[in-house]
Amino acid sequence: MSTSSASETGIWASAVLGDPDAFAQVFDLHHARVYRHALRMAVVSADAEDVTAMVFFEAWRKRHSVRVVDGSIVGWLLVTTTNIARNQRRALRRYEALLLRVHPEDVADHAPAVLESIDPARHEVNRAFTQLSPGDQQLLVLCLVERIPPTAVAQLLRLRPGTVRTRLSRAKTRLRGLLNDSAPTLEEPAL
Amino acid sequence: MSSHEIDPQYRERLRATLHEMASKPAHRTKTVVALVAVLGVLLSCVVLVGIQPWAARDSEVVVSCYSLAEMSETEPFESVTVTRPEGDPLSARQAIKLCAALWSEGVVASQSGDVDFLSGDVDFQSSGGVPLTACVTPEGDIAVLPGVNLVCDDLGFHPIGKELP
Repeated sequence: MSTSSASETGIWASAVLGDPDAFAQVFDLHHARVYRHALRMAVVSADAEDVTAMVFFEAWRKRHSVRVVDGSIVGWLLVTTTNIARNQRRALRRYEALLLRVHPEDVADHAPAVLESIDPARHEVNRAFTQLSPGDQQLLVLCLVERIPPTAVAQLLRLRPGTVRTRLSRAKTRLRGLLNDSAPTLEEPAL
Repeated sequence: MSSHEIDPQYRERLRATLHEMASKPAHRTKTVVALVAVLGVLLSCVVLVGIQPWAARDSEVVVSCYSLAEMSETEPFESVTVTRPEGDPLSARQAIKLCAALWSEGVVASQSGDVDFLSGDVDFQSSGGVPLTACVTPEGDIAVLPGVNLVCDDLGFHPIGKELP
């Protein structure tokens, strides 16, 4: 276990015991990755912000059962991000009051900036990615984009490591197939 | 600000909200209520199995409770046959609660007490633990597995809506 993961384990333990500064530190550590993943799932940045908020609300609510893998809760946060993004309406109902407290008075629409930032190659990858099954999407994001080892992903998803590797290989093959259909020169996903 | 970074104003408000949330004393609703509810479901299933033999027309539903979201390498640890009167199908929630009860009892897996009795599409009303999902197998049986609703797709099963067939 690295020093940073060791310290994250300690910070998380303090947060679970009710230290608000420690919980804020966990937010500082991981909000950027959670937000980027939420952006991938939600497309519109305002939605991604709300998803990010709900992920951390959920982490607090379920703090006694959050899975710490390899000394970090980031995997749990990312899996939860996927789940919340897919069930956003239900989650919104639960956290409506809290979200109202978080929303700034003037909410800027960042969608144009997001769209402008999407270059053609990335757009093709995103288009192919959205055609994959939710299971394939989740595995590709966790293993390739977030670089979480397959063994840790297996723990998070309660699968065997071999099953994760097999499914990941199939997902990559399917993504490659979709990319080859539209853009034969693209080989590596740049999600 | 990069479009891939959270809005600073939003981030600061969220951080402050989280800090305030974590500052409040915990209000822990104990799992007793959940356990009582699960036992109630179990009891009602037992009663249903017991009283249905003399019912005029009924049907049997096999509910298989898995400890892993895989079919190829693992046989179900426990299968329960539930008899239901025609026109009154077993709900997905009932199937999940049935298996969750077996998890809690340690019949299916060893993580006793770490099970979340959620519906397949991630019900946020329960606390902690592993979400369970009910799927319909090609044979028409019910498989309840750990994971969210996309595990049904992954395994080639049909996700269950509100009611089972």
